[in-house]
Amino acid sequence: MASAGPSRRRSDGRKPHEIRPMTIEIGELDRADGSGRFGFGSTSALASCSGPLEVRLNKELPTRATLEISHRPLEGVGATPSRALITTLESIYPSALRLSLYPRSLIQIIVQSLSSSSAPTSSTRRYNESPEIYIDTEPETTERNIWPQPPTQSALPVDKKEKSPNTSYSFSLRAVSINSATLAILDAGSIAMTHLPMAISIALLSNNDGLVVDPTTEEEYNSRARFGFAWSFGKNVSLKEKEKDSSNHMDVDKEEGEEMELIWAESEGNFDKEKFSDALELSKIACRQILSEIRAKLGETLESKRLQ
Amino acid sequence: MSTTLVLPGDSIPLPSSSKSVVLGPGLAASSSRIPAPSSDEAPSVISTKLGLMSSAKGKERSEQFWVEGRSKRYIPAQKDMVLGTIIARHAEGYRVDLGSSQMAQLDGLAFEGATKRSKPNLKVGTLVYARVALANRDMEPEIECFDPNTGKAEGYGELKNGLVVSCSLHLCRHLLNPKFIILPTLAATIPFEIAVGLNGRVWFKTETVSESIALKRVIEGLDSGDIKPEKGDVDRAVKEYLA
Repeated sequence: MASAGPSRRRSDGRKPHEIRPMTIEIGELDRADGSGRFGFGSTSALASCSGPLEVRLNKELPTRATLEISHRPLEGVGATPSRALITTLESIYPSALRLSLYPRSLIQIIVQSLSSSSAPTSSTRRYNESPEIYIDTEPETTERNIWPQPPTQSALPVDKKEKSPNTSYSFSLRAVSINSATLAILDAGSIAMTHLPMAISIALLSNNDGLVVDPTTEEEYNSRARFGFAWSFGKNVSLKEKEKDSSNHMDVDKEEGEEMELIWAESEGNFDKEKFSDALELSKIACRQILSEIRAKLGETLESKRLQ
Repeated sequence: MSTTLVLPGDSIPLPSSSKSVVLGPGLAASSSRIPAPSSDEAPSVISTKLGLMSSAKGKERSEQFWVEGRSKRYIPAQKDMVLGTIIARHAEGYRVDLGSSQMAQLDGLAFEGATKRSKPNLKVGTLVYARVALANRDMEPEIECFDPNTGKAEGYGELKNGLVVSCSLHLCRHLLNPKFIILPTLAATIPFEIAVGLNGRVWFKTETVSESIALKRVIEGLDSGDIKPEKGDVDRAVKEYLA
């Protein structure tokens, strides 16, 4: 990360490793058991969590609760990208929740995206010109998979309309979805949870600027590679053996007094192993920062609603 | 009472004295996921929900610990006092909705002085105040409308008229605490009858409708945090709502 000097600023004035201001709210929805809103800047999601509820007979599991996760995009109907996000969430939460404590019941998590999933650059104009560009046709998909982009394209942002719109959600949208779902489960409070998943997105900018934490949709769109990581925090969550503490980065973990385990890693684009490990290390620091922010914010919220 | 915020997965330091420790809701033992044959250390205690760490002196010099959370969903536990609505009746008894994941069973004979010949006849939609007799995660909960020690009703049974409001479980627990000042404060201005269910429901009966509405608004205000649980604040709210 030699190129990512701390003095360099991004297009929105942030430092490379700076996270956008976070929105953390719980208990906004009245009728759900628990709800949470999480946002990085303008990218945000609202999640609700209810349970244990009565389960339909055909979904009933005799030994554990049925976990039902659904996602609602801001516009349109949930298609493949929405399904992919649900699969991500479904891989994270069953291990974090103690579902076996609530057999034959239903735990329902609904994530509502509050940010557009389409590409950021002049989306309105592109929409006016040719609405059918949103239909995912084959020639566009093949073009989208070419990374790195041809230099003519990245140099001239005006030509962006020739690219297909993003057919999957931005990594920062996926990260806020995970974080909002975590907040919703925290607020519901009726489902035992053993560790706390936190997610962050990281992008490798195309013009050799190095890695940026929490990229905006625009930065992600113009990036060479994108990463999404989620870390779970909690005592005894780590799968690493404690005797092998001598290795360098384990010592860092210990210093913070937190145990953490990687539970989600997704990446796309053109990058090498070194960049990936750099991104992984950055994500650790960022997720810790998110956790401490959540801890501070929830402490305030709970203190203000105290009864005694 | 300490005021530390805990998040799921946080390790809870317990006193190392020889006193026995009782773990309440929101706490669980957690052992490392890697079996370590050499170490014989006790499993650590972690929190499993968001809330404030609370402790109190228990019976026989034990110490109780629990996490005071803000949950809305009730999970039945034995000996809890609950308010339920009868949603169906069958030959042996009733099915009662407590707001939990499964309907509770109320036996037709689980009333004071009930015999095979004379059983209370409750209609669908009736509100009952009952005690959880059996709660176990693999079975439907069972409730009863009498105290099994005395065989008397002890206030349990059908509740006629009045109004039910839903609130958080946490507020219900506080309302049952005799040191919590809200009920004495309210009773100073409004005469009422009240039944607090630990399943997040509160029933009360007043003489006039406007008093009922005032009580309902105070309870909802306390739950949302708009009214502070202090004497002055509650008095002011009652005066405003009754006017």
